[in-house]
Formats: sequence, C-alpha cells, structure tokens
Amino acid sequence: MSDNDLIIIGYENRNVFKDDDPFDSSYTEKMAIIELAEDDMKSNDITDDENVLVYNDYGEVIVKAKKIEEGDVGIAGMPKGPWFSALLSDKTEDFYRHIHARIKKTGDHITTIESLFG
Amino acid sequence: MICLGCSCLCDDLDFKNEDGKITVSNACLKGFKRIDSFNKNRLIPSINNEKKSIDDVINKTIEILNNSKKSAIFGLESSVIEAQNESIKLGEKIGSIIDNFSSVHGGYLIEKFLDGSVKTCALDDVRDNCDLSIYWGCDPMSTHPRLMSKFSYYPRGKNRQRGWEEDRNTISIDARKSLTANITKKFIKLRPGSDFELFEAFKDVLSGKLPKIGDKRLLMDVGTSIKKAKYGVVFAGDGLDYSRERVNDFIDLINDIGFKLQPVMDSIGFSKLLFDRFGFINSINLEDKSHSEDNSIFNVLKSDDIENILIVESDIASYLPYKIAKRLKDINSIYIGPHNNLTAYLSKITIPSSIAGVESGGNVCRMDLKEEKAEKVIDSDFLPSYDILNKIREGL
Amino acid sequence: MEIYKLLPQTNCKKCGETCMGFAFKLLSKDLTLDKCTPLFEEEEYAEEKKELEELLKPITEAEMTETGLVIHEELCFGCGNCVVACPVNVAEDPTGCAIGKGASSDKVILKVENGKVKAANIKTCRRFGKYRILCNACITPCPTKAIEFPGG
Repeated sequence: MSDNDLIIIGYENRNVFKDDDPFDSSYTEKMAIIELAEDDMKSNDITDDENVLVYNDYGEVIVKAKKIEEGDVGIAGMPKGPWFSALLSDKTEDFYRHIHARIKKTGDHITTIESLFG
Repeated sequence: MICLGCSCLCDDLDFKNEDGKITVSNACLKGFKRIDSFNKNRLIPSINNEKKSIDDVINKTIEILNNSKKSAIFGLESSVIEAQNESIKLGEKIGSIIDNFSSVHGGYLIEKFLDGSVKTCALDDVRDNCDLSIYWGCDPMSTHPRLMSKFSYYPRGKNRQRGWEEDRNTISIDARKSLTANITKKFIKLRPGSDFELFEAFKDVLSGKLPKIGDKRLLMDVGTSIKKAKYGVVFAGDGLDYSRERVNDFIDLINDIGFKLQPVMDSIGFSKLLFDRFGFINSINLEDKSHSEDNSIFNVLKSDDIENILIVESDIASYLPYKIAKRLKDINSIYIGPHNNLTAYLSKITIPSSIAGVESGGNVCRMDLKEEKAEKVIDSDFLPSYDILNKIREGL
Repeated sequence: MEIYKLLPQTNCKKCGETCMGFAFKLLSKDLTLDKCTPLFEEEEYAEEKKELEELLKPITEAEMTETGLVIHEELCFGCGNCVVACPVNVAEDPTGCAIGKGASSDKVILKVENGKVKAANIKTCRRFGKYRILCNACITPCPTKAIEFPGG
C-alpha cells in the first residue's frame, strides 16, 4: 500500500432507482462518481467535477470527482453500481475487504457501461 | 395500497389514477418512482438483443432448460411470495441451484436473525416501545426512507407518547457520515473495517472500563445510554460485511446488552421462505437440498460447468465484480423483470414482467417477517413473474 | 437583521416603510426588493443590492409560504420525518401522522405527495400568528436540509 492509496467505501446512492435506465445519461451522472475529501483532491491536483482515473489490481474506471463535506483523508466513496464493480475483486476473500485504489487526474471521458461490459 | 419499494412495505399509500395521471400520497420518492415507472424503461422480450414475442422468449427458455445439465435460479428477493414459491417448484423440477442476494450481501446476519441466535422484534412493537435505536453499518434514510418516520424514531408510540425529542434516543455507527447519521442524536464514525474494535470497546465501557479506542467520552456516553435503554434495537446493514467473520462477536454483543436485532435488508423474506423449507437461506442445490458456498451466484458464475442461469427481478450484475457479471454473456442467461437494467443488458433472453404491487397483486414479507397482501392498481398486459415461471415449468 | 444591515438604512420611506419595516415586509413577501428605489438608482449600493438579491433568492424562487417555510423539492425524498415530527400534524392527526403513518386529516400542515413533501394550512404553524414560537420540529429531522425558514 503506498501513500496514494485510498480506501473506497461503496454506498447505496439514493438518487438512483431500481427502475432507472442504466443507459440514460442521468444514470451515469449519478453513478459514475467518486467522492473525495478536500485534502485528497488537493494532493492529487483535482478539482470538483474533474474526471479521474480510479485504478487498482482488479480494474480501472474513469469517473467524475466530487468533493465531500466532512470527508476523511484517505477515504473515498463510490455508489455501488457498474463503475464501483470495476474495482471489485473476483476472489471471495478479497471481495469482503475494503477496496484500495489509486487516483489520477485525466482529460479522458467517463467510462461507459458499454466499454466496461461490452 | 401496499408499497413494495423496499422491505418496509408501507401500508398507508393512497393511490389515484385520473386518465393515466397518477397521484400517490404518503409514499416516499423511492416508492413513488417505482409506481410511476409503469410506463418508463420497460423491458422488451428479446433473444440475443432481437425483439421477439413473449411466447417466443418463454418457449426459448423452456428449450434451454430442457437441454441443460446444470442450471441456477437467482434473485426473487424483491418478488411476491407466489413468485418465490413458483421458482422453488421450477428449481425442484429441473434440479437447479437456487440463490439470492443474501449470498452476496448480508446473509450471515439474516441467518442469525432467523435461527434464534438473537432476539428479534416486530416493527409495530418498535414504534410502541423503542427508546434507543442503533443504526450500525446501515443507512435507512437512503435505503428504507420511512423506517425512522414510521417505526423507529419519529412516531409517537403507545409507551412513547412524548415523541422523538424526549422519548427516543438514536445512534448511528458508520464509516461515512450518511444521511441517517445527519439526524441521529449521536454518530460514531468508524475507521473502515474496525467494527470489531468497537465491539471490544463497547464491552469495556459496559463493564465499567475505559475504551481503548475512539472518542472515549462519546463511547462512555453511548455506553450509558445503552445501559439505561429499556427497549433497544440494533438495525444492522451490509456495512458489517467487512466484519462478517466476526458476526458471532456482534451477535454476542447484542445479546449482552439485551438488545434486539433487525437487519435492514430486502432479502429477508425470501431467505426466510428458503430457511423454513430447506434449513438454509441461500446457495441451495435443489436436486439434493444441500447447501454449499459453491452454489452462491458469485461462485456459480465463476465455475465452468454452469450452462444457464435464470435471474428474477434482481439487478445482481450491478453488485458483482464486473468480471463475474460479464460471465452472464458467456452462458445462457435469462432475465425476468419489469425494467431494463444492467443484468437484463447482459442476459441473452429477456422476459418482461408486470410490476408487482402495481400491475399485479401478491403476498409480500416485511423485514420483520410480517406478511402483507399487495393489490393490483393499474391494468397492464404484462404477465406477473409467477405466471411466467409457471408457464416455463408447465412447458418443460 | 441580515437584510436590514444591507439596506441603505436612511429611512427615506420611498417604499412606504422604514428600512427595518421594509426588511420584514421583504421576508414576509409583502414587498419586493425593487420598491427600494435608492438601492437600484444609486451606485454606492450596487454591492449591497447584489448581496441582497442573493440572500433573498430562496424566498423569491422557492415555494415560500406565509410563515417563511421553504421546501426545496429537489432535495426532498419524501421520507416523511417532518410529517411525523411536526407538532401540529401530531395534534391534528392522532391516528395518522402522530403514529408514523401518512396524513389522514385535511388539517395537517405537511404531507407527502408523489414522493415530495407539500405544505398546506400554514396558518396553523406554530411560527405563525400572535403567539408564534421558533419551532424547528420539521427542520431538525430532515436529513437533506430540504426545509428551511430563511427568515430565521
């Protein structure tokens, strides 16, 4: 684990509904995000609403950064869903551990569901 | 009208339909959206992304099941009991595996909830008596929006007449400041995965010792509240997943403090049905009624010998590691449900069903195991999932 | 008070009120900001005018009731915490709101419709009338701060 490692907590995004169309742009807006503490944004030179590459041993995904109030340094949040799942381990023993990942600012577009699962 | 939006099963909805314009009173946004979705994002019957008739997709499913040696049925945790029973009958006929969401998240807690390891309670009793509710690793304000307004915090109860300000205390324990933590009277922020340390700290506090970790004053304070509580309930969620191997310690703690447990999860009803029938809540092989971790969807999709999987009203693909979810594309996967979602997108065959509790009726099970009867309020041509499952079984 | 501080405080009465009186009427929506003509005509107040417009935004834009109750619908999730916590709702609807259920009386102030909370019978709110008190019972239980009384 390096200094840049973040723990990512998955949470249920209450603005996403079971009957939402996953291919609607509003779904991507709500789901393809990572919530970061202000200091983590600063140390990675990221500002609110910028795209970031989140990556670890299991996968990588580009999502939008959102500043979280009262956030703790080193702890990020992502809504449980297609983008979060790109960072999950397919080994049971690791699936039930918190996800570690690194982030990097990027000018590339948000990962689409089609490219993840296509 | 009963709301099937989550396992709170709110029974006080008022539904009006004036020329297709619907008005729903008392449902939260989650419940309302579900009812209002009857003309949005509906699933289309299809085989390999090609539109077909409903008979075509059902017949193709029958053909696949007739020709496969190893099948699995998954989901149904948010379905009506009629559909759950049909899925068991179908599974018994083809000798398939049957599994549900509890094998991925929360099952270890549901098992303890069902097998008598810990005291449980009816939500109506919680409303009438509860003076301290603890929300551990769960965020009902996001997942079960009316739990606190209907039962655990805000309502007046028979023995809690002075309301939430004086008569009820609430504590949230979580790794992030959730919406629930915004409104509980106290919030203990945990380092991710350190639930076990907090179990220990509570044990210390309750036996009069100083806690070794955390905000000592806050923990002592909470300890005093716990000791004083006459009717305490621990609401627990899948935030405890990361401490699942310590579940026995968690249960011991709840028993030690004399509290009751209520998991805040939607898969309790179907887990109970399976538990009563087979003694296990998930991952069951219906051929010999045996249970094995190998039968969980996680491991089933990883294995090489699975030929088909029938998923009913559960968007499991959004929760599995994407490499495992992608396996749905390699096998004969069939999705039955009212709306399009990631699981439907990855499935070879899609079979649209009615929205239960909106376009068709049925019995449902609340998180505290109380049963309710849901009625149909909107006419539609979509078949209920239990009819679809029945047609498939009859056709085999 | 915040509003008053930003007004010219000259008591010129061009709006028909003293500046303090005008501040209250702005809050209660009886008068609008453009009635204070010096603020718009004299350049020295330009900054104050901008700040005032910003400050009054929730009042002018959102659904504002006579007690100053503002509901931000985009934040509301219809959980009903406020419906059940409101003391007037409890008193008017003992077999509904008081015990956690949805409103079953027409006399309640807050009720949820199509997943969002709506206000009615606002004159019975404890913040209204001669014996008003600064009741916060609907604000405290809201997890998303969807309800506020911008006037304080």
